[in-house]
Amino acid sequence: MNHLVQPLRILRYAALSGFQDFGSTWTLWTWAGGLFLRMMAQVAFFASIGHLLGSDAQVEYLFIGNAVVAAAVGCLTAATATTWERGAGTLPLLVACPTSPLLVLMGRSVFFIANGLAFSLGALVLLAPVFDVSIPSARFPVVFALVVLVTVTSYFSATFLGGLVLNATSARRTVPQVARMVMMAFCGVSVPRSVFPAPVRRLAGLLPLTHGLDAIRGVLDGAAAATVLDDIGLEVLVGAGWLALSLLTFQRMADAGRRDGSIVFSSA
Amino acid sequence: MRGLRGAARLQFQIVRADRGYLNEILANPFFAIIFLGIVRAAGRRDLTAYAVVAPVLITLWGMALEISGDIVDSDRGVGILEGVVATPVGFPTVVSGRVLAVTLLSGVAIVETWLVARIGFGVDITVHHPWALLATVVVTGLAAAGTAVIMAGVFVLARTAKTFQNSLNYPIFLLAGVIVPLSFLPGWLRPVGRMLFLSWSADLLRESLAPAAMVDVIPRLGIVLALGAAGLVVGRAVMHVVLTRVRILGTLSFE
Repeated sequence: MNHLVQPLRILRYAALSGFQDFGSTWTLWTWAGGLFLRMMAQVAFFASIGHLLGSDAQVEYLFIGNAVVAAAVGCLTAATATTWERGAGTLPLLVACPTSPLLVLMGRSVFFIANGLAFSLGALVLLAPVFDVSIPSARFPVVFALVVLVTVTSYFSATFLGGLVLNATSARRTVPQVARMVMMAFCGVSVPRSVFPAPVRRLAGLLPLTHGLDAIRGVLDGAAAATVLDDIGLEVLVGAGWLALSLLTFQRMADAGRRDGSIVFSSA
Repeated sequence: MRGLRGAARLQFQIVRADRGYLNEILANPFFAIIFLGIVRAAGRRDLTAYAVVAPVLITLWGMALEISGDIVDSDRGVGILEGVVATPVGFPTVVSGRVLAVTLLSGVAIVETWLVARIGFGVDITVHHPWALLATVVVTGLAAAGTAVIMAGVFVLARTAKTFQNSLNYPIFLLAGVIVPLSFLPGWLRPVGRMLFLSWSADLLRESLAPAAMVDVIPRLGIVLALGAAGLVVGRAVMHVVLTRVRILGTLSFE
């Protein structure tokens, strides 16, 4: 029992301190006027391309895809969390703590899940009427649950990327940026995957978001339950894969950093 | 001019040392894939010009915005902002020179977009009005450098430049009709879009790729330049007020 309680306690305290940090960087007004407004404008920007194409179906496709990818975009910034810790001088302490540093860092950056969720749900609720996209209220709870799933799977991929930039701080902005763009381009957000060659489609299937977004589109289009469940299963599987990858690699990267002395008390 | 050149040279050296500044250039091919993919999937090859112009302008604006925020943020972070502000050449000139350098670099976006269109989508882009295209690219770069001074001024005053950096991109892309022309915006928003030099640049670039004869090219190029110059004048005024204020309050490097 203690094996379960202790990690949860660590996660709780790490999450609390993470939320405190987030609150010291962003007030409600700067968050709403900065990050949230930007994401709403991003969704509106891509959805409006449907008007240029002269097709309501395109407007809906672009709106749903970009409203859902907002959740992933909001989470991927978690990949830079390790460099913030390095800048604050707390990274060596976290790496040296008796528990897994990944557990602490996941807790410290868990607010990004709330961040991503707020972006996506904000877009779905506030902008759907602007673009005449109808989301039946009966289906909204399922859509909500699927957005949560997409947000969590994207967050797991962000924790893996956070391990990658642990010892390569110069890539701290580049790695999440490329990840965001790859997801926006190839996961069926704005462009149907059928446009791309088969190898690209297969690789996109290994990314978080792809199957979750398919499931959300399926729910909204009234697809067969079995099809939607297949997509949900694949999204869960992909998310579990990214979490496993994080668990397998993070400690090794932290150990490598300890060996070569690249984990320092201040940003270099 | 020497100050401007020196600032540009400094920025080139900074970019060589910190590749993070090239993120926008890295993002460009993805934007090209997205826009060309949307047009391809919808079977609207007639909109190819829209799909190739947008990534170029997004890269150019993104880099100008990134650097105008980072100049203040990073210089403040390493404790040299006071020194830079105190230089005889003046802070606005330093900002313009440094933004001009990254604007020149964002010219790579044209090549990237062309390569994605050619190799990725088998699309040949014909430039029907090359001189208009070249002139638009040049004046757009100059206008970006001028406008960046306003943003840098605000960033000096703001608690953190990132707040603004993260929020300005997409609202501007939307309002300036970077891909969807202003005629699709609600009527009351169009005059706002016309105040942004990017909206004039977007129209000129799209038309330079179309076979139809272009009209009023020189006046419209003049408007892009005038909006950039207005940005520079307003930016200098904002910067003067802001710098005077933070000098009095002693909050230039308050972080």
